[in-house]
Amino acid sequence: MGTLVEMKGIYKLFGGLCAINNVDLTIGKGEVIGLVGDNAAGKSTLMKVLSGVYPPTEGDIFVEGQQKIFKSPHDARNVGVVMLFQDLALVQDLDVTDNIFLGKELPKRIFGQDMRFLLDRRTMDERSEKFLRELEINVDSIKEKVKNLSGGQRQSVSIARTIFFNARLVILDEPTSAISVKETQKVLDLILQLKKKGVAVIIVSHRMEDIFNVADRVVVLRRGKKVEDIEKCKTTPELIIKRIIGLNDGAGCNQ
Amino acid sequence: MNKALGKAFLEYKLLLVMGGIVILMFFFDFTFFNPINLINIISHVSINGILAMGMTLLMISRSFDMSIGSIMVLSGTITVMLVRVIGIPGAILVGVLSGILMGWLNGILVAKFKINSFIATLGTMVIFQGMAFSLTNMKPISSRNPNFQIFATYELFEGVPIVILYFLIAIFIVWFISRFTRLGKNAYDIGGNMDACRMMGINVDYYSIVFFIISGVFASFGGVLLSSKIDAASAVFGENVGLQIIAGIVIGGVSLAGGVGKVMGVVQGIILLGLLENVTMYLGLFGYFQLLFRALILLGVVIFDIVYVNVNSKMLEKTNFRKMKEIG
Amino acid sequence: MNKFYARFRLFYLNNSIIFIFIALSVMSGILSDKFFSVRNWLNILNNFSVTGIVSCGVALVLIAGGIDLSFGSILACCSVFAAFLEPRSLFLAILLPVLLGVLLGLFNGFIVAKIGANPLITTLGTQWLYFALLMIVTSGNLVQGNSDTPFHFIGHGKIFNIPFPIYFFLGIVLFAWFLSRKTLYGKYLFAHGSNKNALFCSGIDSSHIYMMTFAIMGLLVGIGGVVLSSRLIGVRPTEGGRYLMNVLTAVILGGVSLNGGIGSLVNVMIAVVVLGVIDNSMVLLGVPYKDQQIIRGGIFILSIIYNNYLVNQSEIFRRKSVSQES
Ligand SMILES: Nc1ncnc2c1ncn2[C@@H]1O[C@H](COP(=O)(O)OP(=O)(O)O)[C@@H](O)[C@H]1O
Ligand SMILES: [Mg+2]
Repeated sequence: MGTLVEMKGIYKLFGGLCAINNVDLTIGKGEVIGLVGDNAAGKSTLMKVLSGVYPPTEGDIFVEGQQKIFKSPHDARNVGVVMLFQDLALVQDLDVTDNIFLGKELPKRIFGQDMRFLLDRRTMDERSEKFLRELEINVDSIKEKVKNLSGGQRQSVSIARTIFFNARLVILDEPTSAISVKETQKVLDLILQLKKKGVAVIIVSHRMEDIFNVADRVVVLRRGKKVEDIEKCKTTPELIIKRIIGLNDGAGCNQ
Repeated sequence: MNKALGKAFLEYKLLLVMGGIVILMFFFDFTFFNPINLINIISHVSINGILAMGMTLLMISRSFDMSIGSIMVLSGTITVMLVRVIGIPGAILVGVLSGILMGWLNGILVAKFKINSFIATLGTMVIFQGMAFSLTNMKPISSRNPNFQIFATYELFEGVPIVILYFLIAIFIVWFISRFTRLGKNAYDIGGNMDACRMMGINVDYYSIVFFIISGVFASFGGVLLSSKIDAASAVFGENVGLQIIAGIVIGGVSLAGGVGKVMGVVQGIILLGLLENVTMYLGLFGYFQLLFRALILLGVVIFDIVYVNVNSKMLEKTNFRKMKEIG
Repeated sequence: MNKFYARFRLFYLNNSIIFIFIALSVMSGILSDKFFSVRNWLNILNNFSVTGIVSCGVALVLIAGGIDLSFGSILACCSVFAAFLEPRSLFLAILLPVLLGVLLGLFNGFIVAKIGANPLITTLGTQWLYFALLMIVTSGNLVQGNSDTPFHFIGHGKIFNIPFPIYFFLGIVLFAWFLSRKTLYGKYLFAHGSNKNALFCSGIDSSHIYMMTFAIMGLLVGIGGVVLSSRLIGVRPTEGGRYLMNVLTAVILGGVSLNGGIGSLVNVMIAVVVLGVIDNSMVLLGVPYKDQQIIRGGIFILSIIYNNYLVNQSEIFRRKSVSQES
């Protein structure tokens, strides 16, 4: 399993506040990483740096060994790094199809000519319908506005989007924090499907059982620093929780 | 050191602009500096200033009131009409109190019916002005009672009209509320994060209505003063006043996003606009140059603040990072 | 049957303006027998054509999540410019004012979308800026055009007995509707108003879209200015002020959300006609001029309250139907 993305010596400051303090992170191809930490530990910030939302104050990002500078999410997306923010990923007032094709719309063909500014709604509807059926994601109608879907349906649709566009690394920020148990299972299933397709996933979550369900490796952030980076099979939820709140049972990993 | 300087500059930029204007006037027309003219400027901005004071808390709490111009003319109209019927003190009292009712109506529409404050007060702006149209038959009216004018034009000292005192009192009241009372603190909190306030059990709707009532009462007091000053009322006096006051408050440093702003900043903003008006008049420029200057100042301040915040936060990020590295 | 009812109810809850329109028309028709004549309706449409054209542009800006207060000044600038050019060249009198509108709109758009200033305050500033410049350039005087030129036809001509401005009005509504519903631009327009972060995270820089929307508004206002100028023969620089309230009222009554992302151009058009019907009925019923404004304001507030109520209902209704199925 080769390395897909490598973050080295990342710092991020907001004004005077140091949100990310010298963090290294390596992500293998097709690997699922659980990123955990207390509130305001810097999880979201680190992921936003990785997906091009914020430029890092200092630090380098390598994709398959090549250094990349992400000036915007557009750049990150171009090399296959996609972040799904909780509730930010979808446009509530557009319908399911429009959301799935957001940013990669199919143009209408008139007289064999692509009309870039016109939308081919019918083909897009057909494709997204077929695609969601394949993934066994149920929505009443692909013409339904996203704001009328349930939380789990929304999360499923936004993950489906990334499969649709051949992402290589998908970042999920708290995907299961506001949805029902049944829907959570669906989301976790989708993550495993991503993994099967060889897509790497970083899942940010508070919920240990979700992390331990799907992750291969667990990374803990505390106050902007990485305090743990360990294979799932070598640790337990209890140990991880101790790391999160900063109790070090003799092991002495404080920096 | 650098930081303190930057902060001071941000705080006093309006004073700097005013200073610049005054220095320019020094070269153009020295008669500008006679005390009568300076008092004139203050007394001229007093009524607008009172209106601005009324709306300051409301804008800090992240709403605004487009209807104050109409509240002003409707109260003025009511007062002028009542002078003949119930005498001067009664008329003034009813006029000022009518602002409570109008402010309350605005507050109900926004807080209870959940209408966006821009839309709601746009609607009441039309209604209140319409009422003034109906009452006055679309003509200017007058009380023809010479004593009525004393309320606004009585001179405290030689050449210093009492409206200046009213303005000072208004400044004091609002400054006091904003600094020392729960009401004032809540204005900042609600403007900063309304949902959080709701969750913490603050009665946001109640406070919102109170801020609208304050805005309404100050506006109607301003309206009574205006009609007393010239012993006349007309439904068209208030057009555009709302937007003008909002501009003054924004220039004075209150963000439309709510939660920030200082009463003294607003006072500066209003005086700056008054100064501009006076200067254009003094230089004998065509009246619309005043509007031009006002627009440029407004746009300038808004753009300046954005650019300043952007540049400043980037610089902070860099310097703090360097410091952090040095400490290790 | 149940499904049909559900559909109808949703449609009703989201398009209340249509039903307000029907109710008002029926009421006016009963109160005055002149109301339902063809002539009266052409009159209404003709009188509100400029309002309608401008409303379409402003509606687009609101859908994108912005607002514009300067359109009255832009309208005035364009119509005065058209009146000034008209004795010189018919072609330029149509082309240049429209270009001017685009430029002024673009200026708003640049400050709002690229610099990131608040649209309300920015366009309040440019409203004053454009108006002040116009007053200074014209010294506030009426700009006189000729009345017997082909330019005159735009505002006063008839085709098939229907006044020419009505074609403009309907054409612009069609154009704006097409733009908002059928094109990539339209999709991003709604998306930007609804959640511009989602667009940003999808790698789309939608600030262009936002800026262009102001320019398109400028374009439509410019066209409105040409029509207005041709209707008036001589144009006063203060002409634009009258449109502020009417246009904002139409757009908001038409159900366009101030928060962006929601709105239908067809409903805005109906709202414009509703305003026309209200004005027309007040004249037919002999409501004194001095009392008309209270009625307008009252109807405005009541219909906003009613519309808010319906939107709430529709959300409750939808949530119910979602939770029933899952
Ligand atoms: N855009 C921002 N501007 C300023 N501070 C921020 C910003 N985003 C996050 N922060 C701060 O950075 C710290 C880390 O936040 P975040 O990454 O959201 O934490 P987490 O996702 O782990 O809960 C917090 O203290 C937060 O207040
Ligand atoms: Mg977070």
